[in-house]
Amino acid sequence: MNVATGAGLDEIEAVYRARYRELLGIAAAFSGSLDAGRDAVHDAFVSAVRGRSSYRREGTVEAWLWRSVVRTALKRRPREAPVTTIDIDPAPAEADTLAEAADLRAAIAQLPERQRHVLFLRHYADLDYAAIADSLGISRGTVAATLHAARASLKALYEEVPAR
Amino acid sequence: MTVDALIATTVKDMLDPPPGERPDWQRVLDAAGRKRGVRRGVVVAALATAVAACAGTAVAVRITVFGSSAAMGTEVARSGALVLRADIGKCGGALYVYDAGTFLGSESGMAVRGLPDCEHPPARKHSVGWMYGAARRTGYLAGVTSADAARLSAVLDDGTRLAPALHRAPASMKTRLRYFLVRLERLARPPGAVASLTTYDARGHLIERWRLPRLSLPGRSR
Repeated sequence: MNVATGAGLDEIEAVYRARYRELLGIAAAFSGSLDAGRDAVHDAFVSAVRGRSSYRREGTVEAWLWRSVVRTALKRRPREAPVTTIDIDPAPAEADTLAEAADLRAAIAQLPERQRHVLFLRHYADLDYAAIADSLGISRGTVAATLHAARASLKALYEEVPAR
Repeated sequence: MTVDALIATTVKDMLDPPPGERPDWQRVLDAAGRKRGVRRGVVVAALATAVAACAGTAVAVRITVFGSSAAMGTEVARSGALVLRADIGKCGGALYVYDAGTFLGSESGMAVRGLPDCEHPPARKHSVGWMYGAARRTGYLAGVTSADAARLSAVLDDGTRLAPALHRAPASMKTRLRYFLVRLERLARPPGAVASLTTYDARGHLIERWRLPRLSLPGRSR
């Protein structure tokens, strides 16, 4: 049997198992809470299993699933005061980078939403520009420009921090 | 630590869910109205193996997840119709790349930590092994990383930067090695044009930065 379209159940499961933590991290950040993120990942994969015959192999199965999770999570975000990070204890880090990381966290939280989302999808989910563009419904050029702007903002802020 | 590395580490710290969060695939299947049963591919493979055994013929039977096309190794990564399959033998491992079921190329003998040693093991092992090629107008970068690698950055010598997703091998392979496969949309250079490969662990710390020697290919200007 030669399958020209449609995603295999095994393929969907493989992405789910291999990328669950990143999917949940992104979904929680985009939806505003860990609970909402967990529900978004679950619902997106339930929809993917049910609708896997609609996948046209125009991109990777993983990119298709990321788009579903991102869009489901964005629909769940609160209208007021969106939360962008999961509030957990930071992982241990070297002492001389802890303060820098705290500054950077604050700076990332203050970025415009689109910049923050692109930054998260690039640096946390490790998606390429095409997958990010597909997930957020924007062009690759916009992804590149947005990511450049976000990095520039963070670097500029970082450079303003006095030497420690 | 560079600012970019600090950004990556900070974003990971911000977004990483608590350690107790675990995937629950059965819950997804239940909600979607499916029950996990015996997979068709397994049934086909079992029947084929039984037939071969009855005939007294030494046949290596390999069945893909789609049921019929014979291919070497086990599928470890996919990018559209491009598929990376892998084997782990008594002496190293092997990678095979297929495009829509057609064999494109293979690589073996990679000195990667976690792959079995040959009789004369290399003096130095790396955290990543790779292959890069082009056939039928399809370019690809594929490879395997050691188990401690969580992120890979590859730079081609035309400046293209790639960050391939690292895929865990199926449980049947009984390995913690990770595999990657990237389709290259614009293949401007012949094979051999990988400038560097850099691996990071789960905390974003550098494992290895491997700068590859530039090849002197005929008719190629530097």
